[in-house]
Amino acid sequence: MKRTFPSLPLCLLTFLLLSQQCTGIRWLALSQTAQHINKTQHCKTLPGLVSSQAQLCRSNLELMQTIIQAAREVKKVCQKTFTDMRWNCSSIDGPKFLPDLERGTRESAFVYALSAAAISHTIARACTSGDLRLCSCGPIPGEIPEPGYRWGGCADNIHYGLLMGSKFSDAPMKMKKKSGSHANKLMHLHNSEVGRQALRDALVMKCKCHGVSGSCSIRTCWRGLLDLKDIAIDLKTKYLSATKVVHRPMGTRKQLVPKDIDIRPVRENELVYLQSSPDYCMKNDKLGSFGTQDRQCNKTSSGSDSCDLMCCGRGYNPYTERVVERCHCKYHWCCYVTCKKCDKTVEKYVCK
Amino acid sequence: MGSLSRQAFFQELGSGCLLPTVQQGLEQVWQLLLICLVCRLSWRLGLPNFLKHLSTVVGGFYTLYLFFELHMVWVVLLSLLCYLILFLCRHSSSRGPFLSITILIYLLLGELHMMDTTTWHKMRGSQMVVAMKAVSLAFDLDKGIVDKVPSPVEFMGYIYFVGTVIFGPWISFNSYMDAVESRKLSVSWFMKSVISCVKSQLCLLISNCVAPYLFPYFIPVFGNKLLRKWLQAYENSLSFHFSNYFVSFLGETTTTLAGAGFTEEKDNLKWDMTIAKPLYVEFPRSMVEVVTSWNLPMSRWLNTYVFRKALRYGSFTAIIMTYTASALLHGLSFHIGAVLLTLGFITYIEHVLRKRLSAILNACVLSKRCPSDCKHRHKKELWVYLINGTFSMLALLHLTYLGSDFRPQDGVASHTIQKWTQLSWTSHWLTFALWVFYRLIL
Repeated sequence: MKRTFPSLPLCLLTFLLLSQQCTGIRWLALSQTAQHINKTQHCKTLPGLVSSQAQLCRSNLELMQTIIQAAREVKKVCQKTFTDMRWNCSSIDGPKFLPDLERGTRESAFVYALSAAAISHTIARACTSGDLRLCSCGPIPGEIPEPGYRWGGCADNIHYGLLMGSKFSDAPMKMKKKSGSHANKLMHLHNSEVGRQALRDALVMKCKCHGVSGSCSIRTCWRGLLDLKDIAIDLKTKYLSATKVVHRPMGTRKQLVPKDIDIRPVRENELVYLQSSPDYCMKNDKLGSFGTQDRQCNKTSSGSDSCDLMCCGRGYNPYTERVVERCHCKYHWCCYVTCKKCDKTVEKYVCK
Repeated sequence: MGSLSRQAFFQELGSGCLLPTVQQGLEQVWQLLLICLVCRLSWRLGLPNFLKHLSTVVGGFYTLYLFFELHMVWVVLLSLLCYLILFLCRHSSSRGPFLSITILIYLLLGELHMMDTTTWHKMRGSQMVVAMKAVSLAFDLDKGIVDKVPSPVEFMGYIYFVGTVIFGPWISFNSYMDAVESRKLSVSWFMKSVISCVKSQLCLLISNCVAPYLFPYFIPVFGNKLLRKWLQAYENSLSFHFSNYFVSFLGETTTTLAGAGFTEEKDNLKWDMTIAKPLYVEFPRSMVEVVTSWNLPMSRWLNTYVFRKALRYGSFTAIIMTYTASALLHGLSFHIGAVLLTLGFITYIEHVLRKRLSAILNACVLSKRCPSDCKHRHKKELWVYLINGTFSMLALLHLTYLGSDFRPQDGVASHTIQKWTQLSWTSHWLTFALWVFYRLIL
């Protein structure tokens, strides 16, 4: 009996390690990588990668710098987009992710979607600017949306971005090992796809009609300039209307279906989550909540950043701060702006 | 968009917008330009007039097919209907009004019943040009300016003249017959064609790639929430303006290339066709000047065949009827109708107000620039410039307001109302205020 007893903790430890490895956004830890990846040996030392991601790293070394950039973008854009919410992406700081992102909450749904969009977006942009030489200009799509509609420019950068991006970011969810919950995998894959779809939608060609008095004899199309921030705002809207799901048998296999609504399939463009979120008011390490103590709030707002909501009714403290602002800006032909610096005292509020 | 650095933006703009736009701009019109040139050269071969008319009909048909494919039958149907009416009424003296009503019915039926919106929207420009040509011919026959009903091949040659069939502009029947005489090829003719073509591509680039990103990338003005709305409205407006100039300069190119669009004085030939005057619209003196400078041939057409004939009912009625006719030519778009009607009121009130101010102050503050020999006492005083400057600013504001809503294929009424509500119905209120002021000083 004593022989079998010491092996039990070892089994538990192994199980936990394997479980931890199944979280698909651990690659976001790359945002803190300082070294330049130019040798295959570096792939082994990168934090947060599963084996198939490390393999992709070795075979696409050039791509890794772009992926690191994507990880940084996710953190920056996420925190900016959620500045006015109690949960403000402060837990996106790998490699030690907090439980809220690991439990399949609404917040994790947003992060998965944004990560998938960001990695594809960053790769596509790197293709456009010529930083990546791997991507090639694919053949012009054969299908023509309508007569007179003609493509301009290289249409395939986004395609390559979506392809390579999904290969990398979805890799952990597609591991064949029977570890981690199948429901979690389905949820994460679904939310990642929602993020990529949001990116596709943002990239729809812009077209304009030209003709006598605004008729449409000629139509010119060009690629719209886009920014990841706009996609994040779109995903935030989806986050606010996300749907709680359960893992339920449908036909011969289990599917994710909405929990509270009458039976219908999950829509392709809605974010889903399995666990309800804490209220994020008080600090709770077990739930991954930082709490809102010492968070800045807006006294005059009636939205989610208002002092009442942000501070959860605990009250707030005012303080004054000296701010240096640009003022008396002048435009010089052509083409730059010069400004003077002005000191200004502003009153700010933080939660008790 | 402000978070994109300026340098990154211009890089993106070059590859994502400038190149595709130029590429597509030329790609879609090079065949039209080539056919115009071929037509011009073939007319110089000394063919009998019959064959000249026939060649431009063939060229016109092919061009229509290039742009509209099989939907061109609607344009053909309209022209056949017009000729039938002219022929049946060849002994009548009211061909103008009768043909106008017939065309109106045809266009209304087309708009409401005959086909889907997208297709009709594409051809609206060509339908409009055909309608204008037929109506002008009918009225000219009534007045004896054209002495007899043209033969079928002459009529079809005029209607399908390859230089004007797609992008206009309207030209009179006599201008067309002058063009058939076929003037000599010359450097000035060629230079006019090339310069107009370059201008059109330039305007296309501004419409697609500069106007939508004017603030803050090209002009670093950021503005608060309210100003942001107006800046955005101005961007939309500017984009629409330059789309119009693109088409206008393209029309100049095709018309000149095909051999029309000249004036002749005592053996002095000038290739001087002008469709739009961009500077008069972007830096307007008054809304009256804007309206006429937007499309000069159309202005002439409306003035000759609508305004003057309606003047017997009073000037206000004549103006409203003119704008109504213009709206109908543009099809039953609520948006265009609303814009043109608003424009009509704005223009009329500004005109009568400035006329009144001019009389009271004895100064050059009319809607149109005074000739140098006018009898007003005050011409160059500072306050005269201030008054004119104020009206110019008002015109700019009106243009921003009215043009803020032009988007491709957007025919929804609620969108216009929504846009104007966003801008607090500013132009409507200002126009009302000016009208009250006008009544007070009457």
